[in-house]
Amino acid sequence: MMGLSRRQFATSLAAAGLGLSPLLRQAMAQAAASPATRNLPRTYSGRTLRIVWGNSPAFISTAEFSKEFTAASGVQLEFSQLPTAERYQKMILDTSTNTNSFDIYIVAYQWKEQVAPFVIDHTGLDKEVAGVPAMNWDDYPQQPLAAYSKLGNKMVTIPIVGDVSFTIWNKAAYRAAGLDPEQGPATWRQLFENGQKLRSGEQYGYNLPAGKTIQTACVWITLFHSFGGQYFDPAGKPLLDSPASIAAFRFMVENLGKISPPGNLTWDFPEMLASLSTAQAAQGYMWAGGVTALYDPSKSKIAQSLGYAPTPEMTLLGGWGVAANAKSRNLDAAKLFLGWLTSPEIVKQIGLLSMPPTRRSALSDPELIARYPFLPSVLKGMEGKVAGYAPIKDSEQVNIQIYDEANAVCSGTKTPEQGAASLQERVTTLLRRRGYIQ
Amino acid sequence: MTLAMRALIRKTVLSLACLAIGVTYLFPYIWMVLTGFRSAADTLAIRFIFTPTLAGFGGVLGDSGFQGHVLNSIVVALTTTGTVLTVAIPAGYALAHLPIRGAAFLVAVLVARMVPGIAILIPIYLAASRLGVLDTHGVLILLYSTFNLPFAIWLLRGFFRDVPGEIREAAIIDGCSDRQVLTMIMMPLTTSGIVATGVFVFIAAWNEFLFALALTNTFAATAPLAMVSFRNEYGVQWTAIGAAALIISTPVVLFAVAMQRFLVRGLTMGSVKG
Amino acid sequence: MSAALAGERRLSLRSVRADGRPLVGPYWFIVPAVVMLSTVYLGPMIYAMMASGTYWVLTEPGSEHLPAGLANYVDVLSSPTFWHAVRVTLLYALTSVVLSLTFGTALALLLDNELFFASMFRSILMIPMVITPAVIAIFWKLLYEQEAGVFNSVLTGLGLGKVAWLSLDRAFMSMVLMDVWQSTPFFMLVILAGLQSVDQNLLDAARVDGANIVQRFRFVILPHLVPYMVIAAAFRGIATMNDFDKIWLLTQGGPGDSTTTITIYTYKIAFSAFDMGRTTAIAWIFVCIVLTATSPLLFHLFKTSRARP
Repeated sequence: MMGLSRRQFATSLAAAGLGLSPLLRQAMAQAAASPATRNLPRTYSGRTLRIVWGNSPAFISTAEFSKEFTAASGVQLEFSQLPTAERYQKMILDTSTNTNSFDIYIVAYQWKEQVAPFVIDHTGLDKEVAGVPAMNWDDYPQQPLAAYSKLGNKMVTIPIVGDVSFTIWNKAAYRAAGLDPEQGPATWRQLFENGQKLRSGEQYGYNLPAGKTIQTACVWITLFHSFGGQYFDPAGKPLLDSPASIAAFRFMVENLGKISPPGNLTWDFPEMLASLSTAQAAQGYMWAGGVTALYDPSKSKIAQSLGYAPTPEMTLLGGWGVAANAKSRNLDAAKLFLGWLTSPEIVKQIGLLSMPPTRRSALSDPELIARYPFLPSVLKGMEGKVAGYAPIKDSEQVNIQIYDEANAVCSGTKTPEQGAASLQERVTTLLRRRGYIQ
Repeated sequence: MTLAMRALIRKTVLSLACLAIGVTYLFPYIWMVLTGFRSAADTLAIRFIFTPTLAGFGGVLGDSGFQGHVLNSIVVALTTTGTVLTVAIPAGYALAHLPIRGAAFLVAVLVARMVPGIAILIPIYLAASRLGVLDTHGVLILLYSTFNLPFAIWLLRGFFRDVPGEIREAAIIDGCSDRQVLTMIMMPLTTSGIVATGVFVFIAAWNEFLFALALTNTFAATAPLAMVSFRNEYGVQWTAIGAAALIISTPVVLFAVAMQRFLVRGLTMGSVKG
Repeated sequence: MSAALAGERRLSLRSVRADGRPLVGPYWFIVPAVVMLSTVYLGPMIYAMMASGTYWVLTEPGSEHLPAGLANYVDVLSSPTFWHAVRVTLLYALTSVVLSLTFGTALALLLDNELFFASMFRSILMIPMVITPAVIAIFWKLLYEQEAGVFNSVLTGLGLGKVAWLSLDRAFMSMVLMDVWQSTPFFMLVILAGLQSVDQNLLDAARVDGANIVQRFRFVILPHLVPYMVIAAAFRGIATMNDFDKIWLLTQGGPGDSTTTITIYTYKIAFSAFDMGRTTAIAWIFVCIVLTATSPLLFHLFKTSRARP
């Protein structure tokens, strides 16, 4: 009676709210016809895979779409659709306590090192299990692949969501302020100047998040790297009180903060997105994966006048991978599913359902581009100058320290210099405690 | 002006005051309910005039997964309430009337309540994992019952203390055992207190979030988890969450409304003389 | 009454039988409670105490065997953020309980009269208590939104200025307000139940003696309600100190540290860093702090909770 997954619940919502039903049906039909699906063996029929999954629209649609896999192979799929923080907790609790109630995890790339000991090496999946399409690792742009999946010689995950940071602007507002609506800002300074021109009356020049959330850390990290900053020196000691760090803090509080709506000290992703979609902020920081929501006229006021480009000077990589639990009792079935899900044809289909692809073939596919015109920009961003989260196991911890300090600086309880010094001290303590440095 | 008229005027004035207070106090709730009836764009634009839509309700109500969550919550909350009352009523009675040294127990129980859930969550998760009871109703019921015991015991003891000890003495002389005193005399006299306690426990069990999140997956997940899953990176599905909030709060309100008659004045208490 | 009968009666109310053996019977009434509480609390707390003496990090296998002695306790106790969180928690609980108690009592007194639709009012005024706290926070975040939030829209509609609800200075009181909104019905219900058992004879006697409404309240009703208020305040206070999802979804503990309570402080250590050593140390320290802070109350309760002789 109660052994129902959330996907049924969520998908009827998706169908009702997002109007994806015809699209979903079409994608599923295409998938059913494709060789990847038709070649699935029924060897593992009857097994059930339990998957830690996301709960945003793209994930929900993909979960529904995956019924085609079940139809062809007989493997049941049970998706636990969770918000971001809960995905992390479930994954860590499940692996480190040896509970192993899940077969597959969705892994944000900053968690990759923490989960590595518990998941398999995905490099040769197509050779290990019959029916898995060719992995085609070359189809992925090099930088995201290295960030999302590579750890030493292992492929710890397979990329499933490819995301980069974008600057979004309201073309109509740009025009009204005398700016060229087709041209995004080339530097942060220019972005700020544009923002100053846009700031008038009820309209703001940016959607700076300043809450104690990862988004605030994302903005800081993008600025930090754009200003020439580096996380660590060759010996592994943090360089987080460098001039670039102070400049990043200063830019957030004195520049971006001044042209953003007040009350943003508790802002997270939803507020950032809402600020853009209600045309409150005429310019803003947004993930490419979030741009889809801005195109929907029933949700977004700027759907018809949306300008976008990768963030100036440097883009931040965001993204997710999928990984199979090494202790899964259905390991081969899990490998089969992962191989199917990340194969080029299927990636294209779920790309149509707004799951942001990482594969080059998908990002250059004409059908996808027709629906999501910003995909070429995503590819360009991925192949340009990119930054990532701290490349250590405790990456998540570093992000927490960053957003704590950024929030303090934006609230005015610390100066940029104090914020940078405090960040440096906290990260150094963390590294010492964990044994990275003495 | 006759006494009856004065009473009527007083009744009307007080009722109007209640209405005014009610509307002001419940404004956030009213707004929350309205959110379920309008599209997300309307919600964010804070328009007060809008076209109502039932799409949100349709989506939420029709979904079997959501129904499953609510069913789980009903099962867990009802069983927890039953368990708590079964254990706490004798305990409260004993601590109020029986010749036992209960002071230390009472204080210990209160101290137990002070332990923050977050701190014992992981040891409990480990134990549940080793015992293989993750994602079951039983583990939630056991935990929720225990968490609510301290409050129930203290509250029920308070209500039992309001019954004069002479009643028990008289019954014992007449040959009743303590069990009979409790079930046949004390409980009927403290029904309103028992019901109030039951309502609180039900609500607490219904709304518990942290342990439900950590200890359940798709099988035993409860209603609050469904609520929070409406909030994802891209925002809040306002229509769905408004509809779901209304749907989820309804059983609890109905439960409490059904129990209302026990909370009404009319129980004769001071009936023991001498 | 004959002396023999009186003697018998006295005996049956004592804790020994007529033949001198102690009465075990009464203790059975509390055995189930003791068993449940020990199982769920004692085990984990002892485990937690042992874990707090190690450097155990959940994500570092084998780290549970690294002894830390008192290092975790020293770490936590010397952290100014921790003490700030303690202050915020205690202040939050105190303010919220006092305000909710006041409003709840007022509402209970109002509802204790002859009213039209009395039971309907009682039911609907209970609603805020019934909504999932996490959902309340999600909605109140939109209510509190500065530029385009509901409260500020209403205020601007009425010609008043916008309020920075979630600013550095105001976020704490906004958090308190949200909790008061949710907790007031709780107090209302407890007090209402307590009001049902006020001794009518006493009230009538007071009325006859010429006491007016305020005096009747102060000298008859209020003393009767005090035990109920104390219990409700104690438990609601403890529950408020354990509040987590409400605050997290509203402000994540920000801006700055203005709404960082112990639970928020612990959450990051427990569920992002998975530092079990420190988490369990915090749990024990916190219990000690709450014990100390409420020790006068506990003393009072201890002394007045002797069962009837």
